[in-house]
Amino acid sequence: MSTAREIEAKAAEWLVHRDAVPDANQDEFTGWLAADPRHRAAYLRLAAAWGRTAQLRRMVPEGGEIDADLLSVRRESWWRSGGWRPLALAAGILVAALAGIWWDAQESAFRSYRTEIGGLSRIVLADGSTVTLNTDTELRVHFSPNKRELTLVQGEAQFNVAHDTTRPFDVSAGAQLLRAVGTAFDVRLENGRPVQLIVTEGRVAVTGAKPPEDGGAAMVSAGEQAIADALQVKVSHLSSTEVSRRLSWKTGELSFQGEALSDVIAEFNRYNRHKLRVDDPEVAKLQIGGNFQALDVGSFVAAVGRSFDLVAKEAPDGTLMLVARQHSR
Amino acid sequence: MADEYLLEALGSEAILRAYLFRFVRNPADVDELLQETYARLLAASPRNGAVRSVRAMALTIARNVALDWLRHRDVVPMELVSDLAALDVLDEKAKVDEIVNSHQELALLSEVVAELPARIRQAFTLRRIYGLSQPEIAAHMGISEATVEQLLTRAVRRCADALFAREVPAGQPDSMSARLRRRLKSP
Repeated sequence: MSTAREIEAKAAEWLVHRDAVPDANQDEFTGWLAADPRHRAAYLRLAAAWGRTAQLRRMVPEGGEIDADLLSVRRESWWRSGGWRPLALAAGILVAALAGIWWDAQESAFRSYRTEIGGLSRIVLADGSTVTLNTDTELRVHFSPNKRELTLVQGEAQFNVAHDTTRPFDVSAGAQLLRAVGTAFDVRLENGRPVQLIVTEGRVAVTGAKPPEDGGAAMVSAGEQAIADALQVKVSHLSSTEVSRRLSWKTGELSFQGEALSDVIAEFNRYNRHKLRVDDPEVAKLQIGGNFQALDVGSFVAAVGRSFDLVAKEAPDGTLMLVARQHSR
Repeated sequence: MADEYLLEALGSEAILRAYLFRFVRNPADVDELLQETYARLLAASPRNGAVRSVRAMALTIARNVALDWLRHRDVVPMELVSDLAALDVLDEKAKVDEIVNSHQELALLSEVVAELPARIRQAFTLRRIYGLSQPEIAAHMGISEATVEQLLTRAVRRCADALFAREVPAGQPDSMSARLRRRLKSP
């Protein structure tokens, strides 16, 4: 009698083999499945896991080359973080000079990163800083020997800044310039709205279009958010639960705590081409709580439908309209 | 549809494992009993219409599997009585929205992949993230297709364990449902 592990190993073989050749050894396969219910159980379990890994495709950076080490941690933590640099210095001036040449070649170029609607992408910059791009986002990066300049053209990005006192890390978003001081922070820029900043580590100086040394910068510290428009910067404190809730998009999830349905829908619509809408002002005011997958509009609609007795009707333009059940007839 | 029961029960695998562990105290035996539990779940057909809670049904089956196993071994541990009581507690608390179980999956998956041994990780990345075919992966990595298959089988088993067998602190089989319920605050 086979052990659970042996059965699982065989099930994995079948799964991967049939992933390559869908109808491979069909009779043998169905025979194996039917031979013991444990075979079928093990196969279904692995197939479910395999299916769910499909969402990892969202991690692919836009327009990048194929990188088999995309999700490798080692590269980020050692090479890209500059952990090698002290070694280079110790090895002498020659190595340092070569590294300098490499550095310039790597970094004086402009680079542009984009995600589509529903996209989520993590990029590692040449200085070891990491940036996570949320849905429908464009970020331009320009590194030079004494400056790190980034422009959030649209969307939302979360920055983990590699410490480097000789090169300020500046992010411009709309009319705002944000200068990081050893920091992790999130910036969100949407058409016609003030820039939103959430700082999770260190501090960020927020100014208008001028660099902060001209004075007038608002300092935003960890656990604070800033909402900045052309006229003013409003800084307020956020609880740690609120911070993690607001940054839950990094894990593909949206988290709500009593927001109006209309705001919740606007949030879902950032991530999905299939848009939701709500016209009835009473329905729009419903307060929504809970965690949802940003791309799983269906589950969200089903959940609010159940909770509030709403139904979704497809409008002629293809949007899904949420209406109260008693008005739907 | 029994397949659906199994797929839904996968979301409670950590709890099923914690529950089975209380009978057998040995991870290898938990693997055996879990697979048997799933196998019986596939054969299960509800007597009166829809199943109220797949998790409760899976726990009941797990208990029967464990009891058969204990009978077979002629050993009945003292804590069995309290374990049976724990089942009812789980049953009551089993109304966790199925959406919750997939939360943070993307982050979890990318961590799992990051921790795979290099060659397994590379093969898996090329297949599941970039969508290369197995022959393309073989060419890209300069290895045989048979080796690609081997690497991928190890990757899928690790992913399944990471997704379904997430650990529950010993002695608190309901801590996961409590945690999940906190996350799904009702309006």
